[in-house]
Amino acid sequence: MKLQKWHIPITIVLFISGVLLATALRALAANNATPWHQKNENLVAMIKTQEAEIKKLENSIESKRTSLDRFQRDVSLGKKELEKLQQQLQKLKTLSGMTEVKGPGLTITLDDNIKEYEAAQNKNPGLKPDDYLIHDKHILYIVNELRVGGAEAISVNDQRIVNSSDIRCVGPLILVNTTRLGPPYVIKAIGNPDSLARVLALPESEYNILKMAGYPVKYEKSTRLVIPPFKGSYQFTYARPKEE
Amino acid sequence: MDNAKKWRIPVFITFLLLGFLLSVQFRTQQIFLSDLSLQKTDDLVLMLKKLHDKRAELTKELSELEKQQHTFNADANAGETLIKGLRQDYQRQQIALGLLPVQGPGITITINTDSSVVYLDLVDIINELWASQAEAIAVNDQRVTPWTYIFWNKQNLSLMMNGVEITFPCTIKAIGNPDQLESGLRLLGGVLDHLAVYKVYPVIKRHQNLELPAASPPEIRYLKGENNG
Repeated sequence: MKLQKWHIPITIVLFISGVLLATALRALAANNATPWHQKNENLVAMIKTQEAEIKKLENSIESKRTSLDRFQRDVSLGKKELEKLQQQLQKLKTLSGMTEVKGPGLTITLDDNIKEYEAAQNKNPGLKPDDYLIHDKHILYIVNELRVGGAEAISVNDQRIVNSSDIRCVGPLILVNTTRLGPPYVIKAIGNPDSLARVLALPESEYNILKMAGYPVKYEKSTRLVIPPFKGSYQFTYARPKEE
Repeated sequence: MDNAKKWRIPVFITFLLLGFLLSVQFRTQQIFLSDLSLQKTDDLVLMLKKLHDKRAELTKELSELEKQQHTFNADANAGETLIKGLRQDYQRQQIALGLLPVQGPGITITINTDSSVVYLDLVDIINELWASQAEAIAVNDQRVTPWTYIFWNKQNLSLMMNGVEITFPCTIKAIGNPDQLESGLRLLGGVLDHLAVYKVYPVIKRHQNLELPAASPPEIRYLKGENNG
């Protein structure tokens, strides 16, 4: 057989095919279990585990971030509510006498009628001094009159008069907020000085009655009075908010 | 011509085979590239190390987030306690000022005749009730507040409370310890003794549950607190 012209390219092609076939088979063989392959299998398993773990971590981080974000928004809302509540409370405390207050008003000074008493006793020894002393009722009625005149805060000898303040006597002692007071009695009231003075000037006012009886009483208008806070507390044992 | 035709078939088959082998080769190569187990060990080790580092980082991040949330929860609890305290205090101030409807045990004092009652008698009764630890008082369902004033109308001699006429029979409600409230009024030489002089005999009744309305907030014009100037 004679070597034909086309035999050479065929041979080259077949040769390349042979080489390729050999590499392909080797590669296929590598796919099957070889020691080198097995070692990597462990590594791959570890990588897969790590990847799964990372995925889980990423998911929990995402949900944590979402909930924290929501939380932070809630907290800032809560802070606003808190501030509002604190402001409202502060306003109520100013009204209920828990804080020192300032403002224009009137100061009344009442004292026992010692001079008249001594004069009367000289004429009539054995006369009781009761009719010449300042009593709890005098102060109580004057406080009510100051409220008629629109007083917004009242104190008697620096005892703040609050809603539940009681003014009474035990023997010769006057108690305000269960604190003993002695003459002279200084009553301060914050409000419009003119309207306060107008009530005191009424003929039936307790202040006017004392003045007519010759007690050493006086009042003074003021543009700036300071009234100290109530030192007691508000505790309720019986009263509770009405149920709806 | 005959020769030229003869070689075509083997060449065709050969090229077909070559094409097939090339495609197999390519596929194998693809598997090689995408399959981790077919990567170089060094690369795999490096990758594993990187994943390990990333996981450590994420774990740290998560624990920081958890810590933050924990702090937030603690803060929120503290905030809630604070708000609860403020609300209680607020309610207490409201009760003290007569700005909240209240209920509780107490007494009622009913005055059936107005013949000899003057406004000062009412001032005395209210003062005596406060002295007997009353916690809330209302006159004819008008709550007594720190701004309550009792006076009289000179034109028709009627009694006025906060500018509203007090009609008779007049009922004063007081919440507190009923025994204490009643015995305060009945003190020797006290309010009832004084009223008896004028032939006024109020009827006192004890109650398990009285309801008192709220007053409206006062209009403040002159008073200035610590914080508002």
